[in-house]
Amino acid sequence: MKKSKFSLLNILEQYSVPIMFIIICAICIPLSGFSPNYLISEIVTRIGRNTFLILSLLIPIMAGMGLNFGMTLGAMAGEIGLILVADWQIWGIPGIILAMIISIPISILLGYICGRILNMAKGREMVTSYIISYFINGLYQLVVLYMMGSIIPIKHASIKLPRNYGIRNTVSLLNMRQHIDNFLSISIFGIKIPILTFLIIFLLCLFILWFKKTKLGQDMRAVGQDMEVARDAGIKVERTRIIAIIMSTIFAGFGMVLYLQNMGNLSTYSSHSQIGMFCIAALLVGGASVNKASIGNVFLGVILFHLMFIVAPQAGTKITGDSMIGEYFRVFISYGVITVALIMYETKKRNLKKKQGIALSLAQKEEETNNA
Amino acid sequence: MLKKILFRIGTVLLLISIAILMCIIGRGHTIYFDNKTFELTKGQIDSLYKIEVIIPKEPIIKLNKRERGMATVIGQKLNFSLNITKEKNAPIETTDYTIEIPYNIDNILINLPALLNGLDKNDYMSEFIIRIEEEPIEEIIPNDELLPPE
Amino acid sequence: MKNIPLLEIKNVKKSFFGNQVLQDINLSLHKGEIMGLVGENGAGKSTLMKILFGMGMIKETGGYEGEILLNGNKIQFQSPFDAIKAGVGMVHQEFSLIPGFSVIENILLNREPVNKNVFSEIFGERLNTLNYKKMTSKAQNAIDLLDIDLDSHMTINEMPVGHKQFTEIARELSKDNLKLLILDEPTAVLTEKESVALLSSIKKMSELGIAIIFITHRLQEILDVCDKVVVMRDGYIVSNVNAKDTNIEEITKSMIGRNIEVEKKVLNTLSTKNNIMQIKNLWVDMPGEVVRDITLDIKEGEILGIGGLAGQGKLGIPNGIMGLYEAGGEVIFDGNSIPLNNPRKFLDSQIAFVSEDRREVGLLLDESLEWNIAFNAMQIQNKFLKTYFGGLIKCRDEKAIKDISKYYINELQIKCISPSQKAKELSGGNQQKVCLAKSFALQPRFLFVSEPTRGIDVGAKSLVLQALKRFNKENNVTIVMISSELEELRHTCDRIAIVTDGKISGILDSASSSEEFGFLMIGKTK
Repeated sequence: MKKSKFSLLNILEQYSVPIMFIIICAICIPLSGFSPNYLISEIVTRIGRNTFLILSLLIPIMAGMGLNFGMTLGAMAGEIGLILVADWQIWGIPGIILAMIISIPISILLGYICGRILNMAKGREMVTSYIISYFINGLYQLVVLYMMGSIIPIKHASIKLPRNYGIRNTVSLLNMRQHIDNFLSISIFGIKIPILTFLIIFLLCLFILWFKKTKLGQDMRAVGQDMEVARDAGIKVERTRIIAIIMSTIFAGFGMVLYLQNMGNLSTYSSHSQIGMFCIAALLVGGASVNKASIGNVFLGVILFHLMFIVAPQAGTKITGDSMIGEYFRVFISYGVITVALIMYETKKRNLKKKQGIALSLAQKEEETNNA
Repeated sequence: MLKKILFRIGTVLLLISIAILMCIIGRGHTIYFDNKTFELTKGQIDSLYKIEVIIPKEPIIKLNKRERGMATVIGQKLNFSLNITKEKNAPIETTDYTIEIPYNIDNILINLPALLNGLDKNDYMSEFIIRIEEEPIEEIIPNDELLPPE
Repeated sequence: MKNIPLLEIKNVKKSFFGNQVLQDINLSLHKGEIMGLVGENGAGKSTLMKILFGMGMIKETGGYEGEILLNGNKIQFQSPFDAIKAGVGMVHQEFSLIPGFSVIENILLNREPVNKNVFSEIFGERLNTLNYKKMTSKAQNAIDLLDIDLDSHMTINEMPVGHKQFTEIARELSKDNLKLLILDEPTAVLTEKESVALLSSIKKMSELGIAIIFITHRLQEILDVCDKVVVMRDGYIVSNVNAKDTNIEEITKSMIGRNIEVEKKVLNTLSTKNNIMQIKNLWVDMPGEVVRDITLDIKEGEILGIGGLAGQGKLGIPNGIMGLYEAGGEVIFDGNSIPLNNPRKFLDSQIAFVSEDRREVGLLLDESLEWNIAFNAMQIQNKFLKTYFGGLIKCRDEKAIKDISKYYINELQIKCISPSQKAKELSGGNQQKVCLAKSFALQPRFLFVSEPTRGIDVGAKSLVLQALKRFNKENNVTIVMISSELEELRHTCDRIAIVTDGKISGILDSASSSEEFGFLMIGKTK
């Protein structure tokens, strides 16, 4: 009897953050008034849209580089690919594939730069990658706001600004909108399930699982746990870390293309800037930590985080009657919950240590009663 | 060593060729169909009473006299059939056509009466130039919105 | 014996920051020979091994003079990786293991057997998949050579210290072209049974033709297993003889160049003295040294020894009481109960602790020697400070700090260039002496000392133990000394408690026989 109680408490503590989110959602869902059908179809859409991006975060965590805020760089590479494809009027799935291929060399370059800088900032990777994303945003704007149209030929005036160079605030992706989602979609109970999208996500999951078994994957895991020991064993630590970032950036590029093809619309100057924050938030909500994250965390996180995103503002509006409050509610809860998630992880780590000690004292008491 | 370099160059070439292939098969065009009178150097070809344009996977375009319809096409080949009613209460004739679309042109205008009269491609097909209206000047404010995306 | 020696070291010299650490080293080692290398700390052993193994810090501090030949070829290792490729293996004192990996993964780190696949043809061999079956069998072969019971799938951070050591050794053994193996104090963390197993594996390795350099302070082990005994002192080689032609006294004499007199402890009659500390039902969660249930009374003014085999829990006692690891139970000092998991409370009660982990816990490595000595006293007791404005402004009293450091440098014979030398530049034994000085400067009433002479040679050992005894006598400081060397406990302590399986298995007078102690260490009391 004692043992089973112990393990239930165990589970509660291990998954405290996801459970907290479940509770918040459980409160907000009935308040929001959305039908289950609507919610499920929204969640399915969002899983298809965001999962690839969040999966790209797993490899740097494996290599001990923490949460990769530099995935924004990959997002920018994907966006540049899409702008060019939109200009060349390549539609549908071929356009999507073309955008991904274009993003590859850009991602490699940006990922390499990011990796080199992060190697100079060992131990402080997360803050550094956050700042790098802002810096590269500046370069991106240089390219997109000044060079496109002038140095880089853009044919269609509909994409350009009136002054004839620079890209507009929004670029329509109508001609490839949801083409991957619709390609092999089936409908269950009126809910559209994009089979091809899920297949692509599944392939990435398989790749990550296979990659862990390769020599490079093993090297990354070693580097992630103890850089000096890995170095002494002859592993090229710096090179391995750079490769991890490059891989993550390339996948982020693909993920951004998938994300935008679902949206159908590209906000040239703002689509990428919050992507990093929210993918990382979703991953944390799914139970991941700075040095440990699994595929299960990705899926759990995307479901819980976006569920809250959908229901919280409605619930807020219903409670207060003011729709502006609803929007504020959503922002407040999402940032607040990320903060709480990070704090809870720290507390959990300390409690785990205490628990092992308590086990010892319990054993001691047991022996005493046995001896008595 | 040599094998590895060859393999790498091969992969890069493969990616480039896939990219080029995508460019070709993914090129999108907007086709406009006119049921309008076509002016010749000498005389004219009249528009017909009613033409239905049937393109696979697209909704049927019904064109009365002097009407214009639009369809989108991906790729360079356009297959369509026309259900022609020359005069009121005349029987419906059906013809199939396959037209090759020039790569570089985005928007193409096809004059159906000219096509039906067996005229040359240069006659019935022309580029459709969209006149850009004066749009209000957009202010670019690349801001770091703190609002979450959808 | 082959004609060309496997290893030849010719006229090797090395200096650090103007300090000549190796004077003129000449050595040779043949295939399959086992050489025991002994010497005081600061004698130059570690430096010589670092040169042999191509460690980067040698190049960074100006390189070395002289020649080293392997199988007749001159070698110039730029990094440990070069040394490994040439067939030199080294098992360090500090473990080089990945904590979250299994034994197999650690043994084969960066040398895993792999299978090719489509991706690796294109992107390079790092995308080869690991062949787990081959890895397991290769690792197991290496473990079998050691003749011990090691679960190859267990993760490193769940293992006791002795097994970690064996994993390190197995890693070197699994290298196919191993010609020369350097073992740096391998038995320091092993139990007696494990040490015996290790020594027999060393013999097996030499039969396979591997030459071995065996560095240790346990002189008996050297005589048991080595062919040659080399003694270093102050950067010179002072003795190079066959093991069967010498004995422990001779080796010790060569090492320190003077006679040691081991004083037998004069026992105090302590039965009338009161208890200064009472420990009741203590448990400590220290990985590798778990304490389950310790109840102990410590008398005022005594030197109590705590001994026992490695991993049985003796190191957990001071670490737990001083709050370094999670603990529970009750500790009463001088009649007052002090709450556990609160180092400050114990320090304020004038209880000090010299940890066995000097690098992580004991020293501020980037700071100078004198800083380290004065630090705790400054922080806790506001000593060595000049105060102004009634205590508003406090400045370091540099003169007082210098004086106290000079005093302890003299007392404990700490070998250094100057009191302002950085702590990390000192040799291990001298770092240990600085840790002791730091605690002495606190002038505590009660002192925990954990493995006070670990890594220190015979001459310095005796010095340190004498200093402890003097400290106890002159200042009436109660000392609890935890050590894995029974002999030094018997020479220093009044009573000795033995910890087995996380509990006290018995307390004996230090005059009791070794057999009685041995029985307590092996048997489980119930």
